[in-house]
Parts: sequence; structure tokens; C-alpha cells
Amino acid sequence: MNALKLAIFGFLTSALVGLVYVWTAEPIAKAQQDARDATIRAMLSEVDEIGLGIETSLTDARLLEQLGWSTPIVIRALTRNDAVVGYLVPIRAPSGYSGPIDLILAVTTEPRILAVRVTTHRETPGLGDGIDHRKSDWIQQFAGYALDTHAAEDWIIRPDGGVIDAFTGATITPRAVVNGLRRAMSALTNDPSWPSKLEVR
Amino acid sequence: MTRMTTLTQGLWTQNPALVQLLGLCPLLAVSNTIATATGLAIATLAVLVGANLSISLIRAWVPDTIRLPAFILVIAALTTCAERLVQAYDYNLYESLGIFLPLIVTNCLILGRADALARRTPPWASFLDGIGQGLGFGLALIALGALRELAGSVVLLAILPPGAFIGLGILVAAHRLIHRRLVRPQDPASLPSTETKRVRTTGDVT
Repeated sequence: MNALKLAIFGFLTSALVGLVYVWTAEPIAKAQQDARDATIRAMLSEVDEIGLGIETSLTDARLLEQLGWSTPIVIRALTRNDAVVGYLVPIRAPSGYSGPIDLILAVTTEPRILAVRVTTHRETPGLGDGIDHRKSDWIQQFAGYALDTHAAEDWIIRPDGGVIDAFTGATITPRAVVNGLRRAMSALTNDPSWPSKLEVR
Repeated sequence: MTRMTTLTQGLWTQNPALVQLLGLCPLLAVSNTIATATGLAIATLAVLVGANLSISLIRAWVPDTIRLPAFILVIAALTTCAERLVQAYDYNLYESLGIFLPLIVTNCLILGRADALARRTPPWASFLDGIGQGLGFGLALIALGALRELAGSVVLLAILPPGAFIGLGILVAAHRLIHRRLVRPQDPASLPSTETKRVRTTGDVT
């Protein structure tokens, strides 16, 4: 009898949460998109004379997997004087301390990192959230990084024998971000013709 | 207990933050600015009032044996709703509150009021108690936020974590001083701390 009552309470409270979930889904998606757009605008304002070009979608499963995704993503072209000079590539670092860490990566066509920002994460406040540009400027050190100019140890955190600073008490978070960046940059570097796989939406 | 004393209990004599010292984790963590303090104060007030009211409404149906899981279900559902609503309508606040918004579930003030009061009190009185306790907690949170933000412009320490402990200490001391000098000047025996009853939710305490 008690179990039945508890089950009924569970059902009723879940129904309430479900209702609110459906009701708020749209405004939350919009708020997240707005926050992401604001992050991108702020990030690109640091790069000289760069503009946003057309939106394309990437559906190539192999490349998507190396960028951390299992579903197609939208890649925006970056332009300077109407010429495409780079791309805005969303990447996902899967092995954060509390789930995946989503990043937005601005790369040139070479490819070299123009700028990168964390857009969504659930890392521990005060320990792992230094990857967030609003908490520290740690993420800004990757501007200018490319595989041919930065050797292997430049893509490894200090506790693992590299040169990138990790945070005290939080090694997993910066390791996840650096690994995600390296994997994405390797994928783009090893396949120079990857922009040909983009499809205009 | 009259309606008025229900409110003043939460706001002053049994203030959850300054007298009962409940819910200190969010109080200390989110009080570095007035804006975040206000946001968490409103969210906690809403969950507390909702939890008090709904637990009072279902109190006849909940046997003692399953009361804690049932209360936690109600509180967790309300907190999840509050989190979604804040995320939907004030995304910046959601980002700055971070983990402390879902952690309202574990605020012992809320389970404490549910177990100590709402489960044996009619809805209207429970509702008023929720308002009083929620406002008391919220105003203490905002006062601490204001104190730390103001002092922080002079001494950086006030914004840093130790500032929360020092600030709370100052507020508790001020509360006791005012209570002793102004509210009950002739009756020192009725100091709030001596009449505090801790809410016990586990263990067999005789």
C-alpha cells in the first residue's frame, strides 16, 4: 500500500516536471542559442576584420565522429573581404568531469586556431570551470595553435608531461578540452579537402 | 499561533539563516553579489512555499514510513521546475547560479519545514510559514550579498569565500545584539538561540 502511494506520488511529480519541461523547452533552446551567438560574437570581435559567411551542414559520419558528434552539425564560414578565410566549427569533448564539454572553434583554412570558446559545460564550479572564458582566460592561450607549428607537448597538459597548464584539483577538465581540440585539429589537418564535404543548407 | 507571529518567526525570531543557521551552503556560496543572492532567494522562496503548501495538502495521505521519500519527491520536482523556469526566462541568472539552483533540493531548511511543520499544519498556516521562512532566508541572503558586495569594493577578501563566513558572523552578531537590546531588552532569557529546536530527520533521538 505504501509502495503504491509512493508510486502515485512519483507519477504525479514526474508529470509536473514533464509539463514544465515541455512548456519551457522552446524558450530554453532560444536562450541557449542566444547565449551561444553572444559568445561567438564576442570571440570573433578579437579577430581582425572577420565576418560571418554562409551556413553549411556537415553530414560526413567519419569527420563528425572525430569532432565528437553523432549527429550532423552546422558549420559557418568565416569571411574577410567576401573571401572565405575560415570556418566556425562546433566540437564536443566527450570526456569532461561531468559530461561532455561543447566548444566552438574558429579555424583558418590552413587550419590554424583563430579562437576557441567553451559554449556548454557542467564542470565543477571553482575547480574545473576555469575553461569558461568568463571565469579565466585559460582558453585564450590556444589562439594561433596549429599542428605544424605546435609540437606534440604543446597539445598535452602539464600533469601528463606537456606544457599546458591544468587547474589545481581539476586535471580531467583541461585534459578533456585539450584532447578534444587536438583530435578536431588533427582531423581537419589530415583531411585538407574537408570543406568540400560541406553542404549548403 | 497567530498569522502575524508565523511571519515574524521566519523573518526575525526564528530566522532560518541567522538563528537556525540552516541552508548555509547556498547562503555562503551565492552571496558574493546582490544579483545572484536575490535570484537564489526568490527561487528558494518559491520552492519553499510550494513545498510547504503541497505537503500540507497531502499530509493526510502520507503515512509516517514513507514521508521522507514522498517529501523529497515533491521538493525535487518543484526544484526541477524552478530550475527549468529560471533557465528559460533568465539565462544569465541560471548561468551564474550554476549548481546551486538544483542544489535547492538539499537545502535542509525546506525538508526541515516540511517535516517539522507542514506535515501537521493546515495549508494556509503552512503557506504563511513558507512565506515567512522563505523571506527570512532570502532577506538574510540578500543582506549578506549587499554587505559583501559593498565591502568588496574596499577589501577584496569580502568577495572571496572567507568573506562569506566573516560576513555571516557579523550578521548573526548584529541580529543577536539588536534582539537583545531592542526587541526583548528586559528578558535576556528569551534569546532566540536558546529556544531553537533543531529539526532531526534521521536517527532515533529521545
